[in-house]
Amino acid sequence: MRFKNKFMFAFLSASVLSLIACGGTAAKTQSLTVCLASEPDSIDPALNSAVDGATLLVHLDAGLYRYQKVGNGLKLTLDLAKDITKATARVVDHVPNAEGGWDEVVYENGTRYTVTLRDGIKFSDGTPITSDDFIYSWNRASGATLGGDYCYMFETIADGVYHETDDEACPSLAMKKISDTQFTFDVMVDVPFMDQLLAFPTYFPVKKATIDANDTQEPGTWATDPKTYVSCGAYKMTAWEHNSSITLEKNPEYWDAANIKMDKITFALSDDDNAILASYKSNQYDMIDSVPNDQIDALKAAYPNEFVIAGQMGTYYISFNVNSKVFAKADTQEKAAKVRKALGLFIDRNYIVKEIGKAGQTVANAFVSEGLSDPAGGEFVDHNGPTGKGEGYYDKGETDAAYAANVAEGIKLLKEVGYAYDDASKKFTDFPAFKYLYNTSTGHQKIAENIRDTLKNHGITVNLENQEWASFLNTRKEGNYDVARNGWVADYDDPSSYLSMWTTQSGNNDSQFGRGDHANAAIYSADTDLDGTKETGLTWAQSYDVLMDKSAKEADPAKRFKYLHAAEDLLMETGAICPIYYYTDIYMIKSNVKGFFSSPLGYKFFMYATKE
Amino acid sequence: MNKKLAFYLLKRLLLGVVTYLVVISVTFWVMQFVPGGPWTKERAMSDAVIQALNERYGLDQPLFIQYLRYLGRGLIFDFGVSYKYKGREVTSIIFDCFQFSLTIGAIAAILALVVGLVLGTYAATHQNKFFDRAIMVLTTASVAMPSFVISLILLYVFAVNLSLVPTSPVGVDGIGPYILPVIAESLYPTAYITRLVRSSTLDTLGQDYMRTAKAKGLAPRRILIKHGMRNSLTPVITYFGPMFASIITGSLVVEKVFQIPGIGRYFFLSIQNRDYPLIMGTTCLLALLLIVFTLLSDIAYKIVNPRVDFD
Repeated sequence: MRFKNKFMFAFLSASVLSLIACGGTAAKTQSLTVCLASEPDSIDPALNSAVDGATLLVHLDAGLYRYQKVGNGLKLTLDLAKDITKATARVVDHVPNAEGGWDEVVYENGTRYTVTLRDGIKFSDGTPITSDDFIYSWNRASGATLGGDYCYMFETIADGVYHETDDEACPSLAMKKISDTQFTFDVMVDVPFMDQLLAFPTYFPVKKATIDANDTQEPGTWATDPKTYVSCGAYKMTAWEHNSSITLEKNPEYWDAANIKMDKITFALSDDDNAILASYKSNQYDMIDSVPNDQIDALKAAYPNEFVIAGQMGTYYISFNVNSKVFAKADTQEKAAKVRKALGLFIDRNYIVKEIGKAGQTVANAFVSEGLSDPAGGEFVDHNGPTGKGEGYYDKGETDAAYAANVAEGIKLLKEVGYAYDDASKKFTDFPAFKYLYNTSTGHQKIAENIRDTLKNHGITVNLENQEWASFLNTRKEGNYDVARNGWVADYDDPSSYLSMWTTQSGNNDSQFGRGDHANAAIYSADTDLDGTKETGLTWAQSYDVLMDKSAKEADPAKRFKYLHAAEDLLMETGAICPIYYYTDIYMIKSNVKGFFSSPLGYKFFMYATKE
Repeated sequence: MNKKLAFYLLKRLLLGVVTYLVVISVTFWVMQFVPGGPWTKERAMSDAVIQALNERYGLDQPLFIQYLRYLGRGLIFDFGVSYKYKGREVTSIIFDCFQFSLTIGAIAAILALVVGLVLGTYAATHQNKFFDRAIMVLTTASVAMPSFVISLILLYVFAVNLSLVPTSPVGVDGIGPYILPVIAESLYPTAYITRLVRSSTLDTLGQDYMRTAKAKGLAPRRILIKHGMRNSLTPVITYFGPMFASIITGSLVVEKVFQIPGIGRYFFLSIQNRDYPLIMGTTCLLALLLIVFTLLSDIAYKIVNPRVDFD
């Protein structure tokens, strides 16, 4: 049997290999085969919410701005626009009222952006891209009826409230056409990351006629077939073998086509790390965006010039449910904060990063990750912590002595709450067992086991429970847990992308701040008016929500960031957010590929790459 | 006899439809009680968006109405659009993927049948000789080894180290990338069929009618094929029908390891994504194939063994 099979496939593969050899083309076009992820959910710019989808979109489509590599850094430069100016203007926003109608809110010091498009820009089918396309596309993407995950990306634009109905009376975005190549849009408060939003795939223009013709039954249909996919960026889609590969070829209609170096990019669609690595090793793929976790060390050693660890804006953390009753002795929110902080101090983050993560992650001691800018210079993390000097919210515990100090502090905090500590065995004797919830994955499991083992040394029993992804998300969102694994990756380079998730009403408020019993806990102190003195006895809604709201309405960057730092201080004071490490992005790329770059949001850029 | 056969077929078809309806119903109701829904995502959606989506897909309707609609769709095999893969019809997703799984699975199944019959018969007629022992060891190993281990070994040895075949079908023409998956999928059924055939042939060889045939002076090969095979095939037929249905619906592991765009992974992924229409589509496909092939297998069984009555 073995002989038979072997013979057969040797014969078949010989014939296949000879076919491949004969099929080689003479033309010297530059092409790459890369593997980022499996089949994307959608590559309709308005419907995509995935990082791999965004990478496809920055190649296929284009926005008003684009990322380019300048020296060692990334810079946003104008793409489809040739000029964008802004001026102070009276901006009118509409918010839904209790009667189901809309109330006017006037911003006397709002901002009006005027966009001038480049002359002669065209979609891949040769039709011109005009102001109307932007107005149509942004309204389409921001509407609730479309159901895009990222419709909230338009909240900064005036009238950018969710469209509750299909009703014509429902306000659309405050955009106005001046001419075919010029339009304006109004923002209530000029956010410093507006240029990033304008480079964000959700803001890319799409062609109305194509969508009207194809999306008669279901939004996004036009974007599932290369025959109907009309693009506006550096590439056009020439093939989509569903579940297998997407092929992009240079779009000659793109205004900057002369500077696009890579002629053809094939995105292989796969999600098995071992299989993807095998294809990379056999030179079928030139770049891969994931590697099997247990092989990181071996790959780093074997491919020192191809294994890349890049920074990413993301934090791996543990969230505590502030309404959990599992720590019975912690009968007040103050005591509960102490318990949570103590548990956080016991965790050996250094070990987790070095022995489990292994991908160059850095130990986290704040919620907002490394890599985000701060108007005061440097990064946001350089100005975090209670004194604002970047010391974080606890010591990173990177030396034995520092970690021992953290542990000693943790023991002290738990004793203060009233838990009994046996000095002989160096263990707590009456600390209640609790459940640590994580989603099924080897990496999360290893971290969970490490935390369990570490806490066991202190007499604390942790029971691990894993759930598959969707159940896990559901359990966490509904607050049916005590302690859970969590993580967050920024949408754009601004701390609000992290901090806005903990407001009372936020759909991502997994810790349940300001909800249930916590709604009445009037224990917080915050300087919500930045007058140098902290008001005390505030509830979550009166403190955190207010800080976030004020930061959203503050035009002065320095003041805005003061609110944001204050919000993070308050968040970390609860102990309910226990950061473990800041994410990194690991990938492998063949050393003969030059000119490739990636962004801290995880986007990969192949268009300026060449293969030697 | 013909009337009996027709009646039997009708009965089985009706039973098949009932089974199918039960499967759809159970799937539907089980889905409703699994926590999380299609809009449960890491980045929470606003209530307005969720409401709009529920309205679009009729998820705001009472459960019983949704159930009736599902039943109707299941019967005409039209499940609507996927909630996860935006803008794609479930039937088109299934069709695109199923052709890969079907081709690989069917070749693997036929390979398994042929190789299994030959090896099993050979082993039985050479009982306790070296080849019999060797075949038994190999088949035990193939049945015992998990398919992801076998698949990864095949991939690393033949595709990565020896570079005889490509590691993935992306950018490659021809059947090269499909050879290893066929082998990987056929190993288990081959081993299983070999063992079935061996033991049932051994059993048949000891029967009185075989001795009679031998006494009549028939050639050993003729005895084995005409008198022996027919009887030793019975357990294989029982096994082959459901096995065929399951192998042509693809293997999650094999398709992942060899990056085959088959349907196997969707059985698993659709549930993980709470993509209700795709869950319905894949479940209905699997149920339908199982029902059909079990029926075919039963009919074949009765043809091979006329002693079994159609009732």
